Amino acid sequence: MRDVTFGRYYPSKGPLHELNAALKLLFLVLYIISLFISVSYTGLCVCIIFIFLCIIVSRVPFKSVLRSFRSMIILAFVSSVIVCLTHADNGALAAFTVFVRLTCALCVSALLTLTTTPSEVADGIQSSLSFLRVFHIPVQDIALSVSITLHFIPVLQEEAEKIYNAQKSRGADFSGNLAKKASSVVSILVPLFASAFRRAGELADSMESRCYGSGPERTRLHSAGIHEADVLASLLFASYFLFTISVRLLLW
Amino acid sequence: MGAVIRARGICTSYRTGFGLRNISFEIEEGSFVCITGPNGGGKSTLAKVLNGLVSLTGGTLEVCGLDVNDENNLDGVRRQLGLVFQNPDNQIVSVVVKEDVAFGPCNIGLEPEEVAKRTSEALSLVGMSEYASSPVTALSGGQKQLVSLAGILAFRPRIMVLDEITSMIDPVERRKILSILKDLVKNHGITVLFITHRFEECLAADRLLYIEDGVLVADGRPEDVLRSVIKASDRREENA
Repeated sequence: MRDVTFGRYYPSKGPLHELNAALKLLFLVLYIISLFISVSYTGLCVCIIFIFLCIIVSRVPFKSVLRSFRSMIILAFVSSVIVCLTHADNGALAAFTVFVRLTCALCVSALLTLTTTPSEVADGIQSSLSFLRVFHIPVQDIALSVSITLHFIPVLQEEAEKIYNAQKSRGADFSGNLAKKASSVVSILVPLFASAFRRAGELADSMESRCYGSGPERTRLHSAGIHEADVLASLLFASYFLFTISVRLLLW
Repeated sequence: MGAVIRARGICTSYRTGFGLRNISFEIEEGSFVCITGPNGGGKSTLAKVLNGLVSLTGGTLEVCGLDVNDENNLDGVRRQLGLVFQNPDNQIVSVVVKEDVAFGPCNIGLEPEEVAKRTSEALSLVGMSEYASSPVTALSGGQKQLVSLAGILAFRPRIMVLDEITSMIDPVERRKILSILKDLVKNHGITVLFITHRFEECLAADRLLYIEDGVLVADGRPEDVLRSVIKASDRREENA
């Protein structure tokens, strides 16, 4: 459980850490689009090289990025198996493509959370989706919910580990086949959910006592302006995005 | 100095049966008051009532002249009276220290420059300035609790209600927090209501309230209140 680190922030002074969070969210969405418009192997290779370069530039250790999403690789694997079984022709190749796409998408999402604090993610979501306020959608609440979810992932992981150790010390057996393991996990899940609900209640009280939702529009600690680095990153990303579109058009 | 809290016959009712029963007291501005009593006695309920998190079913409660039972006053009450809970992990909303401290000032719509000013001011008051950019996960329990304190101080409150904030931390950090609280009372005129189970912490206060079964059993100088509580407890044991 300690190995599950998705959603954790990696403190560093790397260039990706300094970028505007709203821009990073936009890059994330465009990168995922680029993954799905790249149908050729050349296109996919470009996507893979790009994400490798991003990891190097971010100064986040490669190991941390891998650890961050490795527990979710199973999802990519299951999806690719389903694709393989449902494709009559070239099933293995289609499965491989799906696997690469999903792994790259997980990797770039992990890179976003590793280089952006949950509060910055919230600010980014709030800025990017502010146009939805016209339709009375509570963008601020959605953004803060995402931020708190990201913040509490490691907290709940630690809690799960404590419960696991407590149950083990009382003789719980987590070994055996899959069915046995699944049934023994219940002894972790029940107290974990109870604790999560208690925490949620206390957090809500704490937020309310700190005037959350008291009326005025929430402001931010930092005014999220666009700096030189953001312009440079946008130009580089635009070049990459146009290149993947060109590759797609050329190899159609 | 006048009273910043005026409670007259306050009552609350909980579905579980626990609640406050006809409690009356006044708290003078700039005083350091401890509240103690057995578990389930109503101390935390009182803290929540003072912050408007739990509604009254009877009596009147004024915080800095504002009626807490009036929903329109809640925002004003919460700006004047900050509440810190027992477990810092359940009240810290951000990963980075300064972002968490800034959460409150951001909620009341202050300009970013003012938010930054108050954040650094609050962190300096609790001696955590050097950790402003640190991740909260890298801090000890006591340091996390200081971040929670700073989060309330960033409102520049007149009153702070602290609900067993030293119960989960080691003795050294506990002493540090106590000395910071004394400094806040002495040099910044903040009124502190400190809920605790520890008698040695009660003795550091100017006044002690003892709450049991939702009733204010004793109110006075800490030494006198503790002496009477111990005597009563001994009598109960003898009778049993």
